Amino acid sequence: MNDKELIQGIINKDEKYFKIFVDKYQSLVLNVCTSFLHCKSDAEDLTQEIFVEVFLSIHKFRNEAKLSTWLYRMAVNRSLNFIRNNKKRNIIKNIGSFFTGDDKKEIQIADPSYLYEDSDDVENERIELLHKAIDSLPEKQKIAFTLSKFDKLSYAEISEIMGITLAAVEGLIHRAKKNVAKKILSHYRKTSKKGKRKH
Amino acid sequence: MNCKQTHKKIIPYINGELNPDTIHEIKAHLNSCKSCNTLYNEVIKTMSIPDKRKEITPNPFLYTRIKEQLTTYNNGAEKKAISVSYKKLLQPIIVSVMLVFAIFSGIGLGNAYFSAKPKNKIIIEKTTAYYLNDLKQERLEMTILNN
Repeated sequence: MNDKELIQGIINKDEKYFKIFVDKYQSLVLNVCTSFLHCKSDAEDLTQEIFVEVFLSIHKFRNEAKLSTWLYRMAVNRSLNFIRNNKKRNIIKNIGSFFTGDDKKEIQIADPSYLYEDSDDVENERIELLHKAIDSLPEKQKIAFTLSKFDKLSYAEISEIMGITLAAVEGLIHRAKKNVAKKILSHYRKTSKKGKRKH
Repeated sequence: MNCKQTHKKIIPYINGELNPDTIHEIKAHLNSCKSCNTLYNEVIKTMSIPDKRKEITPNPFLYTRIKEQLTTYNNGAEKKAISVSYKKLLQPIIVSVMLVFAIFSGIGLGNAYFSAKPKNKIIIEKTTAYYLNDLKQERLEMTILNN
């Protein structure tokens, strides 16, 4: 069954078509969300919301782009919104705890080990450092770098998803790589200096 | 090449942006300096983490969960529509009515205060006149003379 038939079936509110659609694209959406959120449970919740949104707004799809491109865009935008809302919530929580004097901070640290192969404690530290470096990137660099490195998309696919030229994608990924490497290098330089001081 | 110079050129070295002579110098330094070599290896290992990323398998109950959410959405759609209309229409109306009420009550209170002021003045004048009228009181000189 091709995408056009699937879309028509979902527009007609046929559940059979929607199930086929979910089965076909759930892995794509989940993996993109996980790449941005670095947390499987949050990514699963978001994937669910994205499919609900797709079911309700599939009539807005104009067949100008591929269905997968539309889904990638939706997953990227929703993931970035999720991160922004989380940041806002954390700021409000911190302000609240500052005034109430409640120092108990609910920090939810996602265990990254299940996202990567052969990860131990040392590797988990590296993973956390990389995630922090990526999260500190400007939004466009973050999107291009994540889609390229984690979701293994080609530059052409990324340019289609982001709606920019191939050269722009190349530039974004190059700058992102440099910035991430700078962050990682400065972290290790700091830790090695601290280590030297201790000795 | 010393450690500081090597640190500055590690990133271009990783990205392959240096000329052959500088590459050779950095390679020589990395072979001789243990701390720089460790630093370089750590950066390389951290940067290569995305290659080890596993593909996440979706939850087998995802479709059931989506279906459930859609059912709750359809049931709550009417309620949501009411709440949306409340938020979009009723809320600004209530806020503007309250604002107008607050402005007018402020003006009213101000007027009442200023119109009440002259009345207070008369009362004060009367009371002071009463207390300063000491004609009926005994004069100080007479008290001294009598004593």
